[in-house]
Amino acid sequence: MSLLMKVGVVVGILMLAIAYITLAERRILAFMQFRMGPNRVGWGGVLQPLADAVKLLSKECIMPEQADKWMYRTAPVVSMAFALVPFAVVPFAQAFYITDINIGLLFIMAMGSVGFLGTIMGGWSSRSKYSFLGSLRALALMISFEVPMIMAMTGVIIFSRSLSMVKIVEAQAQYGWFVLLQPLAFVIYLLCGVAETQRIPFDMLEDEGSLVCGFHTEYSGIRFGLFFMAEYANMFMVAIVATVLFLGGWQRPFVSWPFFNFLSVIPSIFWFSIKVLALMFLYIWLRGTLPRVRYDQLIYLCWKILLPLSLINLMLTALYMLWGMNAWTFLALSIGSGLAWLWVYDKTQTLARSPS
Amino acid sequence: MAFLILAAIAVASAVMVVSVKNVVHSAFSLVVTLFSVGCLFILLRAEFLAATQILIYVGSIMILIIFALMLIDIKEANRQRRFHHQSKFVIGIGIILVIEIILFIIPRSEFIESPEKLIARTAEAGGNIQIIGQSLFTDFIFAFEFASIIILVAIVAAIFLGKQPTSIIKKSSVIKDSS
Amino acid sequence: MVPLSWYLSLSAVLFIIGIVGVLVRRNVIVVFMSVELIMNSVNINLIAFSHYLSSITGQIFTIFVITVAAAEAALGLALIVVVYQNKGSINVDEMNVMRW
Repeated sequence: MSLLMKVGVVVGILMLAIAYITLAERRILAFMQFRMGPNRVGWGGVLQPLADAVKLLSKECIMPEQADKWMYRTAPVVSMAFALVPFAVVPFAQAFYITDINIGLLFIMAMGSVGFLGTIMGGWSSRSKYSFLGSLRALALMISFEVPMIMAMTGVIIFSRSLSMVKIVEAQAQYGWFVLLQPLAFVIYLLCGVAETQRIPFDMLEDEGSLVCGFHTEYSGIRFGLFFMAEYANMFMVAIVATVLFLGGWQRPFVSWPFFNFLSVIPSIFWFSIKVLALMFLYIWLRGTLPRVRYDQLIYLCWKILLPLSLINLMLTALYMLWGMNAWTFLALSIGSGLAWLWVYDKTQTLARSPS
Repeated sequence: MAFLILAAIAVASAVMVVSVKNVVHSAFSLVVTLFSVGCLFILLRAEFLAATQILIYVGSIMILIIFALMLIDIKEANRQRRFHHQSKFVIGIGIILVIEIILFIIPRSEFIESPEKLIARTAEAGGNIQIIGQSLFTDFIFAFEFASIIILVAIVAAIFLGKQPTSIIKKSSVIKDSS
Repeated sequence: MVPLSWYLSLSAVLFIIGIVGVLVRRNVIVVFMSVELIMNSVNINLIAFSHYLSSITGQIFTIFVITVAAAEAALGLALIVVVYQNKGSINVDEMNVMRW
């Protein structure tokens, strides 16, 4: 398959997935909140994304008079472009990826951080105080949450001895899924992912109650649509990276057990997509159930809980590689030390709160 | 060809950085410069450094700079005069130096072929990252530890500066009155 | 292949632009960004030499340069913000008191 064709297939499927995950999100949220959700266009609302696309494309793009014209125009494009670029290194199925570079994971992180500049550009150039505050929060959030995120990934990298996404997946045939060896890192990564993609419990920069809509308050029409799509593409990216790093990528469950060999009849793309969709469902579920946390609580969560936990995980992983301890001991140690840190943190909090 | 395009982008946006009036614009053109320099590293087969450059320069240093810009009253800063009064002199010298480079360095380009030794060694070690890691943790371990201490000191100092703004401001307001 | 001297010229040009920026601009953050530009030109040099001399040392050194740049950014920007809070301006010309 030629490179161009692969790119076309990936982008096409991605766009469809983005369109339909929005529908799925609305329907699932409606189900959770005892509503109907969009069910008018097409059978059970199947054509709703199409209708939304037509609406976004045909709406007028209004630009604030005071806006910084060039940056206002480029911001959504930057956001969208750098949300799409990382998909080039994702192994979607066995031997189906656009390219496999030796710095794959680092590349994804780098492109993610560049894409974030689009958010900031949009927020700054709108010259609106809500957009500005939204992008200011986004900045602080991103600087904070990238640290434990990368630290959590490092544990996996130590096991797989490579940054290439394909090699990481292949390493999990040997060790088993890394979620079993790195449960702490998995939880940290998921939490950081929610924060990085600005989903509801942590969606500080789109806080409707205080910021109207955050950085894209002033955007309308297809420019808003680009931001929206970039956000969902980022969500997919976080889910995909979690799948590749921790859930075995395209590999079927129980790879090392010959008893389950009949499972390999099912193509590997199926396993990959089912894992990604399960994680996406988790995100939607979080949005449907959890209230928004306060901003300072979020930053404390990052620096006082997630960062120490990820450092503990990194140290234990290094010791595991050094001494070659039993996997069960390692697992017990990492979960135990994680809980111990939470206990210590809780103690210090109560001490700080108690009147002295 | 790729080199020429990237170099042109890098130089053009670098000129933008120092010449544009709006500070935020110059910050974003610095992002463009850093990004294209990162792409140049890929041409030089330093993939790890390219990713690090983009991740650290664009992803954290530039974000920090923009953060600082947002904490500062940019409108006021933009309204002021952009250049020093000796600026014409400096720009003149700069242009002379650039012309010198164009006249004297570029024509002398001995066409050094890219040596295959490093590439071969890299392939043998299993890639750019492996070879960097190996020499970073063996030959350069002291420098590595030292760099981490520098970072630690910088973090502690930055937190110290950020932590107690009130006391410093109080002191300074007294001085402002006297001056 | 691109000859080595092209990379060296590019880095020299970026260096000169950086120096001019440091000398000419009055806004301290632009001066700071020009310093980053200078560091980047050094990085280009180091990596070009590392490539053409078949030695990994240049790349290692670049890692340290980037590290120091990150430390410098954290510290320098904290200083700039404190100065701004105290003086209400980030103009280099006005940072002329020796003692607060």
